[in-house]
Amino acid sequence: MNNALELHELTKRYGDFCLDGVSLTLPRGCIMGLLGENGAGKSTTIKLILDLISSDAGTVAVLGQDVRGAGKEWKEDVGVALDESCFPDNLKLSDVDHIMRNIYHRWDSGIFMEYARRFSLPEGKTIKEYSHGMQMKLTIAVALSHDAKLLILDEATGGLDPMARDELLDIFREYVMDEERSILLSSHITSDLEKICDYVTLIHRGKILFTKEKDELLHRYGILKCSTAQYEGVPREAVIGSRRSEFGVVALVDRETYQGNELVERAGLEDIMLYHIKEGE
Amino acid sequence: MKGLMIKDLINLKKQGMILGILFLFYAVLGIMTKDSSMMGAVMAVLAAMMPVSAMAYDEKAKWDKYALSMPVSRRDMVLSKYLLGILFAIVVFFLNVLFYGAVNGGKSMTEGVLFAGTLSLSALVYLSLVLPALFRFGVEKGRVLMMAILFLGTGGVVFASLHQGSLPPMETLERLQTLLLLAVLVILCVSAGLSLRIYNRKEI
Repeated sequence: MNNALELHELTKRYGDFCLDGVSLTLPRGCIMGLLGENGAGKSTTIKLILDLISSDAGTVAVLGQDVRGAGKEWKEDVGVALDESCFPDNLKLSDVDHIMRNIYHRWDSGIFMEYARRFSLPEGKTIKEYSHGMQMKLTIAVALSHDAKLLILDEATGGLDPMARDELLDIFREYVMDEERSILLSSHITSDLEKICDYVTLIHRGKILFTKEKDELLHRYGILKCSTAQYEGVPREAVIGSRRSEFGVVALVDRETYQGNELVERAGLEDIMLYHIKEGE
Repeated sequence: MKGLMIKDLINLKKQGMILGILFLFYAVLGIMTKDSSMMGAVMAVLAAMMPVSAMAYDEKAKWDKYALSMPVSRRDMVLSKYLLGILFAIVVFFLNVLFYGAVNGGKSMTEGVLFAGTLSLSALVYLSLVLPALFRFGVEKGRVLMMAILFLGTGGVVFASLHQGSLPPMETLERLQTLLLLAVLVILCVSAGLSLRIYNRKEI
């Protein structure tokens, strides 16, 4: 059992949306970014993993166990932060600790309070009085405090300022250091994913466009800037997507198939995402 | 399950204050009029409303999808609300017995137990009727239905008492009490089963 998460042909149909045969594998000890624009199917995928909605087809295995109809025990090993704080307004930090102690067998109040201090979460205030960022930090603190083997974070860093996001990315890196723990992180903030992910999965309109190692992606794709005339000579199979302007053409090319002499610059994850999606359309 | 109950009780703490004030108000009223029925009825309604309030808090916070990402089953989610209802029904039962005793100077305690018991059981029957609907439609949408059942219920009692003149004699109630208790338990179980079926299919 070397994979933290395996999705196979996961399918869910809504009225006008279909999550279509999503398959991905997150090896143990790794961080995978689930990248895609709003409405691409990231949250639907996460809801399917957590069994919050029923799938029309496909399987989900968490830490080697098929989780459909598997009871609730497997969720002891999963730490979740959703895209919003779902704690009732009236609770205080100590209440959250009290409740979670009675939900998770391996809940560690010491670790939780340590994270609360690290995130400067006030003890005296109710959650209603927390800022959005503080509420998100609270749910992340909860996810980190019961020795989960797999963290599933759905847009959990979205509402945070760059400083806070950076601090969290450090914490996530620390978390997977033991190579037993893994993280699935959905986001549309490509810079965050580029910083910490080992794997990146791009999802667009319910379909997976690619799921690959980040380093391989960054190595494989490059940005080609050339004139329209030069672009005519570029083999089409090397081009993932392109954009024309009055100065010429900017294209994302696959270095493996592109053999031209023009300078190919390093492509960021954002370029890779944008050009793949553009091409998909 | 325990964690869920603790969460609900903490959430309802604020309502506890209001409960206390109402309790005092109706207690004074009851002692002055030497009548405990008003107090009893109010307490029973409040007991029935507690799980509903807890559900309303959950709904507002979108708690369910979060809770179900934890080692909490859908069964735990449903049963915790029933348990909460039973818990409050029991507390209100004892409060009503005590109050009945206080108002009537400790006389006819059997009557007091019957009186309080009937009220608490009514609260549980009411809950059994509304909870499946609330699990299906949510508290916001289920509110109308909840009110309708409450009015129909009270209307039914008023109608029956008008036609029959009064409640059934104490002896009848006394003889029927075990049967009543069993009937309510069956109703609770059927209702919980139905709620569970509904909730199991729900896309959160």
